[in-house]
Amino acid sequence: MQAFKLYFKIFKRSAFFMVLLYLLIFGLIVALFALNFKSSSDMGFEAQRSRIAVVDNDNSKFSKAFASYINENSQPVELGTGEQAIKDALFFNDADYIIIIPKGFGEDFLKDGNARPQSYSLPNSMRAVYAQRMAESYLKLFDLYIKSGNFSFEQAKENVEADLALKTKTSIVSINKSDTGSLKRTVDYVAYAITCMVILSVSLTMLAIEKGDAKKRNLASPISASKIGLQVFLGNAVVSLICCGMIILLVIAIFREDFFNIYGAWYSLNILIYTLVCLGMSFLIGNLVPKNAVNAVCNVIALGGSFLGGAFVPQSLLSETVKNIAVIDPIFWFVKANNEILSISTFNLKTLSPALYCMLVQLLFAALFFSAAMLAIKYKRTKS
Amino acid sequence: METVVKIENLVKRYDELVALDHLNLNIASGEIFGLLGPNGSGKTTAISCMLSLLEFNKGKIEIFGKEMTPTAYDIKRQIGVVFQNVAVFDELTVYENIDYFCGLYVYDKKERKKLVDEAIDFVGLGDFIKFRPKKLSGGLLRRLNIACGIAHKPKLIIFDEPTVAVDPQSRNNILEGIKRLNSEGATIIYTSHYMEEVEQICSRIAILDKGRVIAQGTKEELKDMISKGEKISVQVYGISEEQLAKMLKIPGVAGADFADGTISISMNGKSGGIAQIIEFLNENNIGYGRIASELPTLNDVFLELTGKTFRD
Repeated sequence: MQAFKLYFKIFKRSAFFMVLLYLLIFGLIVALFALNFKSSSDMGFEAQRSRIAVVDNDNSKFSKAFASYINENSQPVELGTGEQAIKDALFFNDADYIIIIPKGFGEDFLKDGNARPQSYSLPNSMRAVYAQRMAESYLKLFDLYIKSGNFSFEQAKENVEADLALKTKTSIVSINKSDTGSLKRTVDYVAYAITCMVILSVSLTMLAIEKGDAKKRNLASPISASKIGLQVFLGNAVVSLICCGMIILLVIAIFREDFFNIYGAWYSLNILIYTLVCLGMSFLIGNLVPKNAVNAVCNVIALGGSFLGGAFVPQSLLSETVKNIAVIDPIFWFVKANNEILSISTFNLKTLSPALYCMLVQLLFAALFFSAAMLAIKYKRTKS
Repeated sequence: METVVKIENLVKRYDELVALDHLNLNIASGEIFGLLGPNGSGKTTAISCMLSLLEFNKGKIEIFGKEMTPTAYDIKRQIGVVFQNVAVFDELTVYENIDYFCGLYVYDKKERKKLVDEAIDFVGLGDFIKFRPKKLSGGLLRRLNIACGIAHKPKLIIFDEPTVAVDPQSRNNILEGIKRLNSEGATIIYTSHYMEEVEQICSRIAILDKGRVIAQGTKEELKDMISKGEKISVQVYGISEEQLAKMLKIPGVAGADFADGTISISMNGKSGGIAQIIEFLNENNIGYGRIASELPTLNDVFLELTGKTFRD
């Protein structure tokens, strides 16, 4: 295994530093990305309170009870006087809902339960809808107790408040999709990092080993060219797998338990398959491109492919024309596979088939690159 | 003597260009065999065919009595090669390079270590084992190139122009090293377009031109093939036309001219005419100063056989 050992010695001195650099940069970006995500998301459920302003012009027993209930169960907002104050509060988004209790409202309501206060709500606001529902629930329930005739005003008030205080306990039982979404975006970005890492590792090491005169010594030795070629290829495969492993470990280190689920497993498989594509691509580059052009080619392929394929910009934002062109980009299929995995809620063969199809396309790309590399090797051999 | 390399009617074409044209060579065990020829004469092509690095169109190559093929690994195991360009890995140290190339032939670690250490001693790179090739001077690089080719102690070592772009001191070291390897039992094939080097170390020489062997033999045999002989120059105070004509009658003298106080005498065939010339000068009371003798070179051989010099 002389050539195999040689591969690692050369890899260590020609590409290892660059691979580490890419890993470090990728790690930093992903860590920042993950931190940002975690601070903006909550793992539990917390009820939101609407911002409500109550203007009581009645000051009756009922209006006071009603206003008091609303204030206790919302974020009360102080409102100035006049119609302009109401408009300003809504325009400047200071309140979600404004209740104006007119004079005589208590008396009217207790008479037939039909009277309603004047109200204004913030357009297209869920919290305004909640506030309206809260007020309506209070009034309807109060009306029911009064109409039954069995309860005094005080009893009715107590019962309504007790009834409305009942809360439903909420617990999250399904996987938080937004978490896997963040993980998915990170995995998309892996395409760029792994493309750079594998191309630089494999191409630079191969080019050093295949250097004309040193290669002639190998060919003149009693070890067959195919045996040496196989050992070098084995080196390529091991280095690529190490890159893949390092990337997955880094993602695990950052996302931890979020990764240890079925989504993480399928993402890992997709990364592994994409690594094979990169291996094939690098093998081809190592046989076609001169050493001083490897960095440029690597940047063009990794950056261009990532933008075109949707690793940096979500595929949903890409135009149809771009998507049609991107079918020739393996990164497009890698990201598409990630999208398909994310969209699955129950894992079975049927739901997995779109993702598996994308992975199969990637494997075809890998086979295509390997075949092209073999042709390039044969051409070079014939030419020399 | 046992024949180590036997090449019969070797033909190698690159499209229209005939690089080797029915080349025939026999190299015996223990020889330092020189392949001499100008650039493009087919030396490196011949070496590449011998090592099965190149496919040839016609002919047969036998090494150690067996036909040489790309898969003749038992033959390859006994061959060492020092290429014209330094064939090492820039990423490995001196020691690692020698160890790697030796490891292609010798799998036993202990034995290999011994051989690598011996090769390092042989080329005198002991102080540079941890250096990378880029840190070495041209001469040291050449030594490393040699160490990589000889570390496994091959029976046949091929040197393909190992002294190209090497300073005179390093060149002498390399040539001395080759002689030492030969004295330790290795058969050497040495290609060069420097005739002086070939004359200095080779026991037999083949002169190549346009892929053909135009002459083969020891250096003396080669020089005997041409009409040109020794050239003697004598500084004299004066000589008459009569004396000059008399000089032409000395056996072996082919021609004599006098100009600028110097007689230029061309001898026929082998060397050894200088004593006769001195005797003639003394007998005829011709006062003389410096006497110089210039023997024919392999360049003269090449010139006479091809009508051009090595540098043409």
